[in-house]
Amino acid sequence: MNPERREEMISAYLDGEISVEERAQVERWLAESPELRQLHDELKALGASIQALPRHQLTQDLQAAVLRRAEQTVLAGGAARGPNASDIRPASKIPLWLRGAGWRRLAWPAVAVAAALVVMLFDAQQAPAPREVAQAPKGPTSIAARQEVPSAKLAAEAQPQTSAASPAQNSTAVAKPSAAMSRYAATPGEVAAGRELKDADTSNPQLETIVYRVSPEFLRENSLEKMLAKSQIVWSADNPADPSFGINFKERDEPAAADSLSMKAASPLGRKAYVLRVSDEQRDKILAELGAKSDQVRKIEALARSVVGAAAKRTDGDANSEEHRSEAGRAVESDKVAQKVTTIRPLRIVLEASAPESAPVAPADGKAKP
Amino acid sequence: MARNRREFRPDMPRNGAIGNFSRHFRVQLIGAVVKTDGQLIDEALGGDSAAFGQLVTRYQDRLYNTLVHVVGSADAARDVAQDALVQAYVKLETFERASGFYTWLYRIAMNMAISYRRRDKPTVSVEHAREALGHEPVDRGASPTARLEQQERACQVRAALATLSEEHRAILILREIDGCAYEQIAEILDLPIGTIRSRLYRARLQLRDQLKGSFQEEAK
Repeated sequence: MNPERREEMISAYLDGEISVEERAQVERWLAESPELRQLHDELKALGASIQALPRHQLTQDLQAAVLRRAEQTVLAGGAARGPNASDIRPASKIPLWLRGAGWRRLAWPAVAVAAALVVMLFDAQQAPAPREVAQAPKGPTSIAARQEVPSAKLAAEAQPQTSAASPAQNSTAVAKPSAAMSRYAATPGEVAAGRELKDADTSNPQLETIVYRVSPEFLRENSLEKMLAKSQIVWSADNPADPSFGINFKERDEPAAADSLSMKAASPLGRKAYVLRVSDEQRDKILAELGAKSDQVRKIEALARSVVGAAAKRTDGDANSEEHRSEAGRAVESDKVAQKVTTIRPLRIVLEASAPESAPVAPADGKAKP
Repeated sequence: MARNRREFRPDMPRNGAIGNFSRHFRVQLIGAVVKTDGQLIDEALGGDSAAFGQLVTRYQDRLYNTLVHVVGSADAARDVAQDALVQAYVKLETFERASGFYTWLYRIAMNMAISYRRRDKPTVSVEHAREALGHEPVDRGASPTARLEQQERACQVRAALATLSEEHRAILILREIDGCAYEQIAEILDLPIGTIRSRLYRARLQLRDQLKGSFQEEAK
């Protein structure tokens, strides 16, 4: 047997990974050869040194981030078309514009360019131009541009337009989907860039939130979760311990209403919040299903619109906020029509349990919509 | 093939300390309420993402510790661990259960870690190892001098590990840090057992040569 083979067997002997016959052979060599005994001792000390390396522990739980990114990946079709595990690189190492797979990689820049052309076309004819919106087509290639979108969207929605449909308004409505999508949708870029965008989901002040008052049974039996599973809707629990939890409430312009929605005041029997990733069709379907359960579920209020209204109020001072809300609502509706095909939006549903006898009672601020 | 002297069991931390044994025993006692990997996988495949969350919690620290040694950086290890767990969830349907979930997860993570290392080769030095790993866990019970020596030795070993090829380092870490049997290493790295045996031997020789002086003294 050649020397290398013998030394290899000593290495395996240390690991207990040799046969009984080989073991007897190695032990004979060790008894006879000082060189092999020295090798044995050195390798043994080496192993002990590696095993003595301090253990490292994560400083943060990966659970929430993993589930969030996995959901985004599944929604974007990563499960079916994603690359092999061996090809995956850490998200932070992949250039943003290269994230995603297949045709989607080209589709988003194409949508962005098309939107930019539309804006530029109207820009040449009309003034003032919605310049913020014109920057939005950079969305898929630039985090910075993406971060500008909320203010662009809010500013555009807050324009005190009184005419029904001016060309400038049209241009905003057409161009906005790309801006809104780059903020909301699970684009290929966002899937890989989950870490950068993870807070965009629950801390997004425009995240549509619908609050329901439900029976304790409905909450206890996880009925909504069953409905979501049945409809194959991906969701995650909105963690009340998360600092971003309930940010919509804080953003609202009615402090009393915000107070009424605090967990303590409004939900002595329990409260659960879910963040769904839904298409418009899925959203409508699940809301219709909830609406059909009128014996157990009652809609209290929807909060996203009020945030838009608050933005309009902040911009225009004493102007009639109801009028602006309806303007903003129209703009949002335009968004919805334009995005209907591909957009996946986060939707937060909050369920607050109430005692059977107090189920029909309106919340303290009196804002309930029966 | 003889039975491995350190059996690799995800629910039983190695090193055999009393505390670890006690923890293991407790896990066995309450085993009736602790769900197995298989049960959690079934639930996750049925749409319960929280079940996969439990798997993440169960394995993230061990996976992370291994990856720190393989990629040589705490930040990169966290990235790779997260990516591997995401990928495992997304591809969960393809897990055939021929091996343990942890072995399968390791296969994904090791592929990513080896790719990462090939792409981003770090500078090899004791100082670099110290900086990349950030705060170094140390034995609080040891004297200050012993702690310093312990840290110094750990940095030397890490720097020496960083000089190995990706394949050799991964095999050595899986064997010495995780206590994997050759068969499991072969599954994780998709290599024949004979190759594992010979590569492990070569990896040890290379590492010994890197650390020759100190280990010769220790062996005496």
